[in-house]
Amino acid sequence: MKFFRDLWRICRGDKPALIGAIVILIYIVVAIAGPFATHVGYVKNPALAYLPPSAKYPLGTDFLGNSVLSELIIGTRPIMEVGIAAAVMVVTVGVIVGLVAGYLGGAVDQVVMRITDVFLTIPGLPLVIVIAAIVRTTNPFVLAAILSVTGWAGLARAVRSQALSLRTSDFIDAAKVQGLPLRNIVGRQLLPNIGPYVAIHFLLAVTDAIYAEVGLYLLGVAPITGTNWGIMINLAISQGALYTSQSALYLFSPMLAIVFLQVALVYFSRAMDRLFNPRLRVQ
Amino acid sequence: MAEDSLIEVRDLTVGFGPVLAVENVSLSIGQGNVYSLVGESGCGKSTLAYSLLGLVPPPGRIVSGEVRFRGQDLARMSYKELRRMRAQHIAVVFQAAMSAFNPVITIGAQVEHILEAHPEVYPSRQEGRKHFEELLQLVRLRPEQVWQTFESRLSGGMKQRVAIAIALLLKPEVLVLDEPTTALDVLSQRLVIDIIRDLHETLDTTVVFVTHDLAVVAELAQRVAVMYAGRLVESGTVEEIFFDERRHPYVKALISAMPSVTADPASLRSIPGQVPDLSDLPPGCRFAPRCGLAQPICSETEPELKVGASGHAVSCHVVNSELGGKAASELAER
Amino acid sequence: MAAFIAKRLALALVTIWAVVTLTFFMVRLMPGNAMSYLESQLAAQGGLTTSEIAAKVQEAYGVQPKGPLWHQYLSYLGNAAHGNFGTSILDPGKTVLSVIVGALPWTLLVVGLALLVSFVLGVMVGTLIAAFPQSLLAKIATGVVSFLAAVPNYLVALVLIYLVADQEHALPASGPYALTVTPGWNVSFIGSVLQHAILPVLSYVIVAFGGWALTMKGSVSTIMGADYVRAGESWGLSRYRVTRSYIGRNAMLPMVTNLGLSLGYMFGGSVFIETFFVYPGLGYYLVQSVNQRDYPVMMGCFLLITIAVVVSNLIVDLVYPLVDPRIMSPGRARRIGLTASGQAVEADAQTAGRSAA
Repeated sequence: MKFFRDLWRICRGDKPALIGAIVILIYIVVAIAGPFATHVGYVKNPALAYLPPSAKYPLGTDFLGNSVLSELIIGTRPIMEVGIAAAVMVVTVGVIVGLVAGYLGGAVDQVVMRITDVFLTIPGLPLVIVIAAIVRTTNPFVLAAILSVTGWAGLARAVRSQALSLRTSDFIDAAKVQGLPLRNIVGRQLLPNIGPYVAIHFLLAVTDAIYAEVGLYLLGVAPITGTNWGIMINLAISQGALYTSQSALYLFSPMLAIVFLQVALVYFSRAMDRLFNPRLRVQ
Repeated sequence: MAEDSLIEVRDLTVGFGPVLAVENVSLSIGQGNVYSLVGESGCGKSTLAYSLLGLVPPPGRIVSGEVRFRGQDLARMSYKELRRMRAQHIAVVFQAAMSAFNPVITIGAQVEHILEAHPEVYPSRQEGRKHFEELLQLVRLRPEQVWQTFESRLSGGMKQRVAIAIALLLKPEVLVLDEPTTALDVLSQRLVIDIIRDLHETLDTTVVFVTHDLAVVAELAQRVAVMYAGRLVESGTVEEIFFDERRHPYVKALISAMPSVTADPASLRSIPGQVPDLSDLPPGCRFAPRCGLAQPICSETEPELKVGASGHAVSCHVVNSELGGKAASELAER
Repeated sequence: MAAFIAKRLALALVTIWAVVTLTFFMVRLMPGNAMSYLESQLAAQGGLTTSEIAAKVQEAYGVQPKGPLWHQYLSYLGNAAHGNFGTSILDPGKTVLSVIVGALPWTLLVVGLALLVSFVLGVMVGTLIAAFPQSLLAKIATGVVSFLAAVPNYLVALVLIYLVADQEHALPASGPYALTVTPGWNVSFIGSVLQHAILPVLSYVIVAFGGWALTMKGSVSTIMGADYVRAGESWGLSRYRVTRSYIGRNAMLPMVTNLGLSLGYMFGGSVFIETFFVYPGLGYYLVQSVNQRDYPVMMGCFLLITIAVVVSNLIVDLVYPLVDPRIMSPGRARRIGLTASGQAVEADAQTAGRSAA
């Protein structure tokens, strides 16, 4: 598909983007294969606690005696699951709302846009915290839904303005005159135009979701069950990792895991932005 | 010719990286002339015009050669020295004045900036503003429509006229216009042409305008310089360009490609082939691949600009040599 | 102009109303909502009559637990308008209002300082990178800034805390000011406040200034190639004038537009930064009350954070016309002779014989 050819084009031209893409792929593979490759126990084994790095424990051990590397690998899936699920929801809702508002226009447009503006202004993170506090859940999809409660608004606005400009353009009139069904108009005229924007927004939504998700675990607002990077940092801190260098690896490995993924996503999305929205060249 | 020439361009070469948009061009523009730079898109005529003011858009730069205004070489001047020249002695009206105005400040504020930058021209700002209003009337605009307005509220044609008024504000000796009629509707075109003619007749301004529209050239120009792929191929009076026997084949073809309202559509001729890619030029004469008169020498060496008795200069092996005459007249029969 | 202000004001009010309603919904209507939770808790404790329970719940939340729903809603709205958001469950003597009003200045201080510093730094660095794109410094700066902008700010906060764990005196990592200082408008207090604000502000700035720098760089690069900049130069304007009014003013537009977005993000981030630095702002109390199940305080913090964001967005919206004066009211357009649609009408009937519109 043209989409993947475009992706390849981005990677070729932009080294950071290529690295970013590879990193993202690695994370996806680890997320899928991780739980099969290794496992983590929850019983305290003081003899093995806070061991320095070795061949058996490349990143040392935590306070329970688990290999930090194993925890890191196992912790990838929950984070990415929720992150991607949230981004999918954000993009789906955003695109639908934007298309409906932009294409139908009139009163529907006005009402929908006012609602969107409200959601755009409400600060997302505090709202997410409040909802997560009330709806204490461990279900990743419910969590993803909570995380996406305000994220859709920005995309909806952009999609709507695209839909609006296309609706009033000759494109659509020509299609209508030809008697093309709505499905065709939406599918072939509108969607390809907003494609790149949606893709970029998807990546950014993943970073936002991961930011919020890890944050929730860090604050202890989301229940501490299972293993993921946020929980790892939370537990490390509660064990006093900030004030001693003994558990530095336990504290910093998940941080690095998060940072690498976030940076990879952002770099790749920037490369996409550069490709699809070329700035006026000084020529 | 060189004695009363206001602007003297000598062997000017302007490049954008490795690509030379203007190569070894020499011409001279006399005081009070209406001079036209003609050619297809990409031939370098606009770049040449902007280099008269040191305004070649980056990353372009003047590689070699001189641009002398009253003897002073503008190509070697610093920004500060050029500032004095600009607007006061040589003014330019950009192509598509659509985007030539700062969008967030009013037209009036921009005019004030100009007056502030050249305080020696008018004894006071009010004087300057008054003169500007008179110029607006010259270009058929009402001052109150323009002074407090933002450029987004003006139509393309109006912006073009405001740009002309601004260019004349500091009473420059030379007015350079880049494609003044392109991208305008027919009525605005007529207006602009009339304005330029009025200006020349009343203020004796030297006018240099760049265009690809030969009809405008026929109406306004006194002298014409034709460019092709970065080189000057012919220069002379407008009669010589349109009617002379001894003309560059490209120029001849251009003229005959002009549609006429009365002529038979079948007699319309286009020039076969395409303008060469400046980064991949053919050896020898750049027009040779498309030229009906091409001889072997044409694909080997670049022709030189040979100046005839009346000052009519042509750069073509065939035309400038003996055998040119016969071949040319044979082709003319066809 | 008045219409513009009115419209923005209306939108702000509607948003605040929407948030208050949302809060009511969460407090009262959601399954497992706070008020029912408190009711069942008090009932399980035993020793209270139902009306006593009801009174306690009402006192805590400022809403009558019994009665028709719309009645409860209206009373809630009424109470909210008066600033009655109930009392803290954990600390029944304290009103929610006192907690959040006390916390607000601290959040405003840190977020305000952080925004100011990162914005100014971002403008400077971004402009420099755009002005000298080929220089080594520009390339290094772009690389560093691109990386930093992608890092979560709470991780930066944690790293900072880790790094300065021993330097409590120079760079305090907790509290709004030293315990030894007495609050008041005196130098030592203000100095201590600023000193304690350094690390929290730094956590924001390290990440945020990168974003601003990148935006500014993109903006300046684009503007520099614009026709009107060359036109300005062709008029013989000084470099200073061109940089200030032609490049500068236009390059700042997208920056100001982003201010609103950035504010929401920063207030959101306060949740983490204040918690890690034990800084008693709205974010801190929000998290504390969440973990302690002190729902009235939680709602109050959420409400005030949102109101702060809405109000600051409103201020940015109102300031924007100063930056981009093209936003014009219909009245002004009429006064300077433009038609209602804003298009200028042609002057005389000199257009090739046709009469003007």
